[in-house]
Amino acid sequence: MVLRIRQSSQDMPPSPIMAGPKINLDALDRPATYSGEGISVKSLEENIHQEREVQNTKVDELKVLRERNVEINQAMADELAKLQTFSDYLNGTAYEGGILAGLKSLLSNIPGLGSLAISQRSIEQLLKQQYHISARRVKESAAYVDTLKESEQDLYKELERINTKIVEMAKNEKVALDYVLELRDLEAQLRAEMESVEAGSVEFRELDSSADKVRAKLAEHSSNVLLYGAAEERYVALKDNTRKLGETLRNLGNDIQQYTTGASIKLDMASAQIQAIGRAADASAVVLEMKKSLDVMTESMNVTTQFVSDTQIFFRENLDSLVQELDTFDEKTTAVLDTNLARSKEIETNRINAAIAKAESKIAGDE
Amino acid sequence: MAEVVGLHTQALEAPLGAECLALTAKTIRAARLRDSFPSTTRLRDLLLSLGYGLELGRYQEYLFDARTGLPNLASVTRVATDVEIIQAGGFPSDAASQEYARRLKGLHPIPVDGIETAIRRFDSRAGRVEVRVRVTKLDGSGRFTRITVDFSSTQANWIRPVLRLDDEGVQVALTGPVETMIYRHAAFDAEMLFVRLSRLDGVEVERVERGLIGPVLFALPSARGVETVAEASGDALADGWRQVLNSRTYERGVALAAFQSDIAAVDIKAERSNDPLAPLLRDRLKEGAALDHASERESIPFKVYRDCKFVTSREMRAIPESLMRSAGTRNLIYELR
Repeated sequence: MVLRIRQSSQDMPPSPIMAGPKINLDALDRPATYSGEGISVKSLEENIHQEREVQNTKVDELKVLRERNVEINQAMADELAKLQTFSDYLNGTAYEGGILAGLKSLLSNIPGLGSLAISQRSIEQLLKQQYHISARRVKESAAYVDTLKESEQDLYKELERINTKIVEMAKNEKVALDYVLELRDLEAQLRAEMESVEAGSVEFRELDSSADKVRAKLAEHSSNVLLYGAAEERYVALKDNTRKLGETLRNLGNDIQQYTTGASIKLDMASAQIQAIGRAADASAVVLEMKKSLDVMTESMNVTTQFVSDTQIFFRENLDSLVQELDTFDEKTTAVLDTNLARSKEIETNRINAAIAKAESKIAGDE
Repeated sequence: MAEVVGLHTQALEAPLGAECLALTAKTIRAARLRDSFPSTTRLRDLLLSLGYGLELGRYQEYLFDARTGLPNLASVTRVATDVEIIQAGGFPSDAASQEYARRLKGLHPIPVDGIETAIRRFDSRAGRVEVRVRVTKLDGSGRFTRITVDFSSTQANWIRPVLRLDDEGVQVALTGPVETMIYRHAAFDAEMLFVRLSRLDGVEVERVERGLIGPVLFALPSARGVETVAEASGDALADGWRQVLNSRTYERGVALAAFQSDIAAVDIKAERSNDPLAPLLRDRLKEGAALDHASERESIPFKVYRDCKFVTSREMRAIPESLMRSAGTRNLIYELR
């Protein structure tokens, strides 16, 4: 609709089409074209909540991994202690009272075997079992890498989504800002025109009505300026946290891969020696060879144990601080939203003014 | 030659590793082994699993025993632990790993070792139980070995140190010391275990039988030359193998494998060895030890029979034939096609 506004009351025709300067009221009827689903405090809160859920899930997964890591660490430490005992025994330093006393003491370290006599178990069999357990532990640790890579990929997909949102919010903020400026100009024109017509006249009332509509639109879209601006900032913060989480997962995955590859190669080499000495071990012979084999195995266990210890520290240092950062972020945004909601009505004018000021400063910046 | 990467350990990368696994599987299948040997079905499943591991990139190389050409402890354990982790649901979820897991489903790869005990017959009135024990293992020589022991006892009280029977005499398990005794004797002659078990109170040993798979010697032509086992074992077999291997060139993969059996049993009529790779124990002992051994054997009525069958590519057939001529034995030779 185009409202023509005349300069004086005598010139005013009976229809809305008036002679004189014209005020184009199209802006009032034309909806601002925002992309996406539209925004409200509630929808923004819901969207951010959804994105946060993704992060929380990943953090929860990491927490589970951390617990599993602790279990494996403990198991590794136990097995390492057993192998160390084997090694000490074979070294001839650990026991007094001969081979039988030594082996009896040794076997007492194996669960379920403490009460059995030495002749009741084959050392070859025990070593093979121990080897099997160690090989499985290394594989279980290596399986972390897969889980972490999967989580990392999920997070990068999430990053793409958040980036799209950020661009969308920025565009919408600009649309809102442009619209607010347009409405501000229209309101100024209407107010000026109202000064020039007779107070209380039909023209005056029409102009006043239009001015109120413009004011209402200004209020609505000023609110959008702030909402889209806040959304953009919050998505940027989410993006930073998501990226940090992704980087944490990648670093951890790389470390684990390195450690498990090393441990796995060492175990493969130990297997050949265990196989070679199996029969001899049962005959309580070739003690030196057995010692060598165990040294290799112990070394691989050391590497693996080192890895679980390191990852535990990694988890402790990184995961906790990440969670803390996420919590802080949460509290901060919730507080901002609460304040906005509580004061929304009272500060409407201020908001409009702020939006206009922002739009003006943006124009100034663009120029 | 396939790289030696550790003690008695060689590594072959794909595709040669896969070729080697396929040739090994074909060779073992051709031997048509009885169940006194380690399960060829389960061994085939192991070789298939290892082949899948190479093909799908789960493992970069196939590790095998440099003496026997068979999968070594690391390879067998790799598959066994994979199966465990797959069953526990903790296997990686990438496409290749999932495909590997899918292919392993339904396979039963042979483990590093295993013990089965079963009651063959139980006569509750006479209090007599007949038991069969089977110990299968990848032994220290790098061969897959199965020892089958058939024994019986007529006095339940005497069984206790050897067997644990449930109340109804349906379930049976070996006691630890006896299990260990059999396990440890896998590398020794069947008659030694027969004698040891016969000394146990309340036990009548009927048969001890060992079946050995390996060595499975192979040669595969490759761009680098011929890939073959670095430390071929089997004494005369290995000597012949090396001799023939170096005397000619190959356009296809060739293999030569031995499958020895060694039986000590009460129902054997005549004691003899038809195994050109292993004479009877008494013929290997020095004079003094042979006398001791003979006196020990006198009180226990059993005889020993040893045999060996071969599987060979045509190019290597001369080796077992030569061994047979030298030892005066007549053995089955299956030729690989």
